[in-house]
Amino acid sequence: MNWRKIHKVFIGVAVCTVLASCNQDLEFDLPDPDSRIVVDGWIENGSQAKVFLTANSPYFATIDSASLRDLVLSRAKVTIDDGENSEVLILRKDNRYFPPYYYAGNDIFGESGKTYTLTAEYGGKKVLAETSIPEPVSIDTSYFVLLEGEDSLGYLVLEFRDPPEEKNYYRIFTQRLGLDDKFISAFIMAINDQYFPGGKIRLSLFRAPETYLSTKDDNYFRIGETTVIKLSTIDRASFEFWNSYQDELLNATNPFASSLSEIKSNITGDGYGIWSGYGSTVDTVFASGQ
Amino acid sequence: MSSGQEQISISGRIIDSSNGTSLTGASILDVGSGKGTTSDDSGRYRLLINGDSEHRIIISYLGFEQIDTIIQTRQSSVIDFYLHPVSIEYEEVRVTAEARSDYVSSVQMSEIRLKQEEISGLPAILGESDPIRFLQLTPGVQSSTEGGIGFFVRGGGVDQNLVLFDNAVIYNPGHLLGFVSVFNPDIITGVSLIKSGIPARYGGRLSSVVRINSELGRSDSLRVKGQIGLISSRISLNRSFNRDKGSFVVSARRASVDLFVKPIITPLVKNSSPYFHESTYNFYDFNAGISHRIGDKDYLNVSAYYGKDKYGMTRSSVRGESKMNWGNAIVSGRWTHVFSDYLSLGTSISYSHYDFGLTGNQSDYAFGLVSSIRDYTIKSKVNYFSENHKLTGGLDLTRHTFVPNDIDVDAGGLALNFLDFNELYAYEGGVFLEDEFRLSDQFSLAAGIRYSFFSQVGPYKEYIYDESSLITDSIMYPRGESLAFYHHLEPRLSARYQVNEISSIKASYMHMAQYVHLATSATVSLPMDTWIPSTRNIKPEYGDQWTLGYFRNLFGKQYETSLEGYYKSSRNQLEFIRGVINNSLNMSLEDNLAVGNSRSYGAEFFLRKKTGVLTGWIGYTISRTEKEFERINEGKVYPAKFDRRHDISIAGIYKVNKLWSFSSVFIYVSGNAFTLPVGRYIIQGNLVNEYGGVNNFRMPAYHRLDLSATRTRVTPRGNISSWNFSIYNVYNRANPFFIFFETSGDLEKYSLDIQPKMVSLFPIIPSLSWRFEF
Repeated sequence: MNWRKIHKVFIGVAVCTVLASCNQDLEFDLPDPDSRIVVDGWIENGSQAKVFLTANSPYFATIDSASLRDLVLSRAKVTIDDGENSEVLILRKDNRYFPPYYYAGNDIFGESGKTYTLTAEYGGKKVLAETSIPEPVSIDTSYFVLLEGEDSLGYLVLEFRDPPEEKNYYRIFTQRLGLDDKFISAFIMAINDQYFPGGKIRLSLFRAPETYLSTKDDNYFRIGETTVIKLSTIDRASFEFWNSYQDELLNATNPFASSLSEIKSNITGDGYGIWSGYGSTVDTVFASGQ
Repeated sequence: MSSGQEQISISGRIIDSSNGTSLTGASILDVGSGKGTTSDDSGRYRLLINGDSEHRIIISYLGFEQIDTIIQTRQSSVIDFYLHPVSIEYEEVRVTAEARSDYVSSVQMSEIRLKQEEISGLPAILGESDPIRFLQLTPGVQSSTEGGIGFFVRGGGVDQNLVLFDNAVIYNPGHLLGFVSVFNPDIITGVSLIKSGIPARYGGRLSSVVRINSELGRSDSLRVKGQIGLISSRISLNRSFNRDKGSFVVSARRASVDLFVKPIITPLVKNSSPYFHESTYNFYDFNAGISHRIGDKDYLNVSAYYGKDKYGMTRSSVRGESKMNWGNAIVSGRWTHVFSDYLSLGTSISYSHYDFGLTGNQSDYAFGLVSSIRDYTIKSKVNYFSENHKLTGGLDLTRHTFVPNDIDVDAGGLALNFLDFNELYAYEGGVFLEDEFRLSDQFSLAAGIRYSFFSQVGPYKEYIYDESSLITDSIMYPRGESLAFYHHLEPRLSARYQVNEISSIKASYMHMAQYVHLATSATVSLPMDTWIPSTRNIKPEYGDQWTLGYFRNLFGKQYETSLEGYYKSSRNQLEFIRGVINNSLNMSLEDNLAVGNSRSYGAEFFLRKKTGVLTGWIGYTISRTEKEFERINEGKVYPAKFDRRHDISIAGIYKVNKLWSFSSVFIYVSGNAFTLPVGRYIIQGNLVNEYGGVNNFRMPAYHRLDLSATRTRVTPRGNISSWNFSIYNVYNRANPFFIFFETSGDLEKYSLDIQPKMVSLFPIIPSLSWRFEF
């Protein structure tokens, strides 16, 4: 979980800075990886599926607009099936996302309690995945808390009741109206209910960067902002993916972290990635500072 | 005893006259009959001679002046011999050909001893002369990180080394995140390491035994020693009392980093490194020891150690602060009773405690983690000497209390429920018998057997999980009830064939069991690494090692050389897949564990010169270490992180005259294995790495040269003032510490570039320290 990782990073940084460090460039001769279909797809209650399909690339390959075009698999056949109906998804362009192309569903809308199968075929390769949408859990309340000693910076608090009789896994997203063009995952990529006694869960939400590749912003919300919080229930396979994905983002090259973990994909066949179902509810917070 | 001629014995102790400590492995030779023996690990010897004539006895020990004396006695007698170190004399010692070298003639192989003078004579890093760091310069031993005191012996893990300080186990021998060992170099006699053929009296670790004993005073006036250095400063006092029957030592040491280094560096790094000036660091430790002889038959030793490290950091940018502290506390007492000149009994009790605490908070999250291990140990050992046998038998028993990790998290006033990771209790013990005996003048054997056992006992609360990791029930085991019991027979065998006066062939086999394991949270050794016991689900580790070696003296006894080959395998090794405090799905440690096997083989060459104006050694090791774990690397064999093919080290001390001495260390080691991504892909606008196999790449080789000059002035009254000037990493080699990948550009602007960057820890570092003794 995030707050534990923060300490690991603290320690790592401390070791390096107690001792003066310097760094230099290196050259490595790497073999090219086998080409794979990378799936980043989801289906949410009340919405159609969105599936991003890309190719993997050699580690040191430079990314520019030309090479990116090659990474997007725009001629794939993507099918979803909810057990009763199936549909072939259609490629769409949407500049809010990166890369800006995804396969979108039209007829099948996500429903909680259902299981969805995804099939994607491209260039003789095929991947398969299955996910389900758990029952959504409603948000009790959410509010803004001003940081001590600050007049505009703060964080959001989210409270909800975890169904105690079952194991639940969650993801949380935020979108500041007028500032963010889509929902952004909270700093803690995924949580489970294990550490919360009595069913009541209260979480402090700091603002996470949209991508870890460009962290321009600070981690706070501000007075005057209106933010939509989305609480999504996910299944265990999705939780394992998002949890290990977060580990990888934070620890990939941290020498103080174990390097033996692997991302736990729920994709089978000639690829990897995630096909995730979300049972979502939303709540809106206006940061008044009162 | 043989019939015919009446035999009598001479026995006693071999003692270093400079500090009153026992010398282990000194050779005692009756020139007339050619019979000889060596002193045991408390310096005691016993030699049988014919009772009807005078005898010429030679006592020799490398680095000490030889005693060549005539003994005339008709009855068994106790004689203690005091040997004078030759290193003080600055002159070549002549060594007579008759005296055998213990390096060649002893049955024990794969053993390295460094004396305090050697440790303090070699180049220091930032003024720190660390006994463990110099062991890392000998063949078969590697450091876990640059400058760190964690070490690997012949491919074994850091936790497979049994580190004993005055007979008590030290669980984490590091200060300053492992860059300084807990052993204050002023108050130890030296350090010894056994890599194979480990005697049956030692158990519980697969790879090595490191023994460090504190030095006691022998001067009848108070001696004060100390050093002022950049990293730490220390002072110790020792003297003997009661007509040399007793002696004591006390010492204190404190980090100087915060006093000297930080004020100098802070202005230089202020803008680039906010972490530095927002952090605080300190460590200190104390030692005390007393020894007393009661009558002629009893010796009593008590020693104590207490040390603590404190680290704190505030990060105003994210309103976070973090504190870490850790330390060892050790008390040990040893009583030796001599029944007769061929029978003695040694009994020791010891207490060892290591604890680690981490607290942190960021805004309204508060985090606390505590882990500890506490041991109470009793050991008893009987030594029996006869003409051809040195028998030792005994037993030991330890009660362990483990707190693997006790986590408290408070999120905005709501305490999170981390299952009370309750204390774990266990008993570990062993019964052993070993005998070193002479089959002929050429052939000697040391055979031993150890029966070891381990039992995890209640009180213990076990949680029962269903398939979805939900706790459904718990079982409470009452106090004393055994939850898991393991036992094992561990045979040990060493043999020596004396080819001639100057060379021998030795071979050894050992089988070992290890019942406690270090759960490392990272690829480097950190104080938060947690010791955990074997349980029903965590099996003990078992190891085997075969060693064969050729030992030879050159140019009299000036040079010792050896060539050893080994093959080592171990089962049930543990790796923590996601780090020990990173158990997000399930708090059960076992789920996070990968169990597998490892093997290691190699050859070590060692050339050492112990006497003369130039002393030092050259070591070369070629080795390979591989691991095989079902849950790692898809079950395929992969190289260990510290599988470093070549390892060369050269250490030399040159004494120019009574005032000046110079020393130098050179080391070359092949690069560490590490895991490098071969590809990457995009998920949610982030780049994710794709790996092509565990430890599939090699870092650049590590090499370094250190130089040091020491000016020592000794006054006629014996007061010493010594200035040491050291340069670490003379040619400023940027050695690899770790490799990270720097991304530049912005993915959303369609331009991104990734470059591997290597981080080095220590550039060229000159340092100055001042040592005194009066």
